[in-house]
Amino acid sequence: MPTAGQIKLLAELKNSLAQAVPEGQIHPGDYARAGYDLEVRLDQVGMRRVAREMKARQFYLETITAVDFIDYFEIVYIYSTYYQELCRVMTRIRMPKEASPFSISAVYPEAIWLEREVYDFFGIRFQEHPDLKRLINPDEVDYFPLLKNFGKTKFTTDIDDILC
Amino acid sequence: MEVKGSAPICIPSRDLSQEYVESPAVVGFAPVQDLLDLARVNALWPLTFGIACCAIEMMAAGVARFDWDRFGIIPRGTPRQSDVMVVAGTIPHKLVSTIQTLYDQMPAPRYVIAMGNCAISGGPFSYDGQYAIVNGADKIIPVDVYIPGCPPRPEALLQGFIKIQIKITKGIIDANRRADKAARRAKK
Amino acid sequence: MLNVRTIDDATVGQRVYQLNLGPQHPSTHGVMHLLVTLDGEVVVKVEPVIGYSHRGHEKMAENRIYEQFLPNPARMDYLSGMIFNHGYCMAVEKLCGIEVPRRAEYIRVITSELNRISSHFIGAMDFAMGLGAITPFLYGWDDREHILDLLEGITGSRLTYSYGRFGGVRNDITKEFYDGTRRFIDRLRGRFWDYENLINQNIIFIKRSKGVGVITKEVALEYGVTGPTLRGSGVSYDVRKQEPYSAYPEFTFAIPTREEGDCLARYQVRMAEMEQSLNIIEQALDHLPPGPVRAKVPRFVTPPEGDCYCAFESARGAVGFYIVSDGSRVPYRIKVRAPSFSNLFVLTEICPGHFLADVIAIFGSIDVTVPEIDR
Repeated sequence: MPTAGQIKLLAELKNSLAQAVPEGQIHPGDYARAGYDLEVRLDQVGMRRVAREMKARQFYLETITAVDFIDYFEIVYIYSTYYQELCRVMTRIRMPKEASPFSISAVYPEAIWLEREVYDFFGIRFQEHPDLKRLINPDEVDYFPLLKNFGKTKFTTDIDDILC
Repeated sequence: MEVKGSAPICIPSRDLSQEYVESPAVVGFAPVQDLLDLARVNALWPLTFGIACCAIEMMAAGVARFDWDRFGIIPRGTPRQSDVMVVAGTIPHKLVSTIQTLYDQMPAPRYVIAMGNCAISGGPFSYDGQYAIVNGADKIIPVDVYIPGCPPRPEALLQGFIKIQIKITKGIIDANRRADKAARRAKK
Repeated sequence: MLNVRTIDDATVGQRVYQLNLGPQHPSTHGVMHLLVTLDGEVVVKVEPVIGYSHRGHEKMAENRIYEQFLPNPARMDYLSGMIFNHGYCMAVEKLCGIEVPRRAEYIRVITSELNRISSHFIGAMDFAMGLGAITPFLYGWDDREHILDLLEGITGSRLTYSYGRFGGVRNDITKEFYDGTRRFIDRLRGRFWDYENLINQNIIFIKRSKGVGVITKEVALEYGVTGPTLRGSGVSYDVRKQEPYSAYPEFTFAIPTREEGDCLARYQVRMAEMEQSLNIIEQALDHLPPGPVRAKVPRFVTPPEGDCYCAFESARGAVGFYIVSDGSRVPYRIKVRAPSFSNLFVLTEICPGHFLADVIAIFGSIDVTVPEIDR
């Protein structure tokens, strides 16, 4: 059950995020089912403003990840807070495959590694990143492992082969 | 839906039979060689190359409850001073040249124990389409003893060391064979 | 703390040199490769190189059904394998809306806390060993063996557990487990005095860890540090209290914090957390409810479409499982937020200016598990 403090925090966040990124869409999230309280959908240019707003409100960047849907990428940034009442904000960027979002490593240095990992596994290049190179896979490989057309990812029509 | 372009599951192994020939005996007299082998097995110093989960069981074999020190096993941090290399854990591609370099740096006679399912054959991480690991340590270095388990118990690692002892002394130290012989003699 | 001399290209190679700490190194836990740029004995820059433990868990998840992925979380952070295993089950249950019986929640809490204690033994004592104290290492691992005996009695494995199932746990606890855990709690409470006597007053230990590797609150926020590493810097953030899950709301326990933010503070936080875990286990054993230990779940779970982020607290910090489901039996994407990933990166910020030997101490006090970073 959301407490009064959480409701107030969510309302404040909604307002300030709506001011920072007027082009984004902000939805409340269902914490009990999905684990986050607020969801923000943007395109790739609004991310730095959101990051600055979150940093000003003392949120920390929990993780950055990407999901490869067949015709677009969705990059997900998850923020959570140490000091205030529980509030988790999930920001999504839905962008075409060749697009290139801006890096938020100037705001959160942790993003230097998180974005390198996304580049390493998906091939998504981040603009203005200080040091974009591979992180986990060996430097000389030329594939991006987590793409759906790499290796033997089974699309959902071939499930029964998996139960070997 | 068939997908193309899967990465190789394992790298091709080098032809190891030519490279790693056992060093010739130090002295030509067989009993002296046996004596040297006996001395060697009672002080096997491993290079602990713990990569993943099996490293914890290897460390557990070293501490108070299981205690490999009573076998003469003292872990060394550098390959230059060790006899046996315990490869404990999954081997990703980034680590292959490291393992080969470490093996090359060990002075002969040297032995390798592959500990855990991952070092034997890729273990739980080997599946059709795995891009990240090498399916087993014997694809890159010659292995003498394989210890299955995920992770193997510390006693299994100690049994593995005993098997290396049997192998080095060519059967002179062989507690199992002695017990079998005694049992057969008792039955007669 | 010494002044950090700035380097430019002219001085590289004259006074400043690079040293490879790893990937094979006796003091780094697992294969950790630190590229240390040194000016004499003083560290100028530290760059961790990771990827030596990459096994492709996230890709493997896309090739497995949810049940077949159960062994994997424990192998990510093998020291808190039970916690990861239960956390993954919790994430899938959240996505599917499965309700877990109360007895199963209590058993999950008891086993998770036992796992946390055993992980802190390794974390704290490996830190001491990195400073040269070998004896506490032997003491800690021996106490840990008692926990492993208990958990082996009900799960069958010592290190990498797959005890949790969707909807509960695999089997009920036995009477031996119950009695053994009670005895263990009493025994361990007496042993804490041994550890204090052994390490806490040792002048070398204190000199090598006090004031070394200070992480301030601002740095911690920028780098997303969580876990005992964060609680040693004065921020009392623990996912068990911030977003209570499982049966944790029913137990009273404190979150130990220290203000200084140095290596000694992090060590003290770990030792204090072990005591709190004992309190939790005792309360759980006192009020263990009867009932089933596993809910009725279909043989192959098919979560509805959508995504879910489930956070829980492992021995190293806040973990998160982000599962994207497309309505089939195979996950579309599983992303694991590993606390050691962020905790390790903070090394680049706090190491410059220290001596090389302090790098080992700081690295030990942060307590990372390398396969969790690489997944």
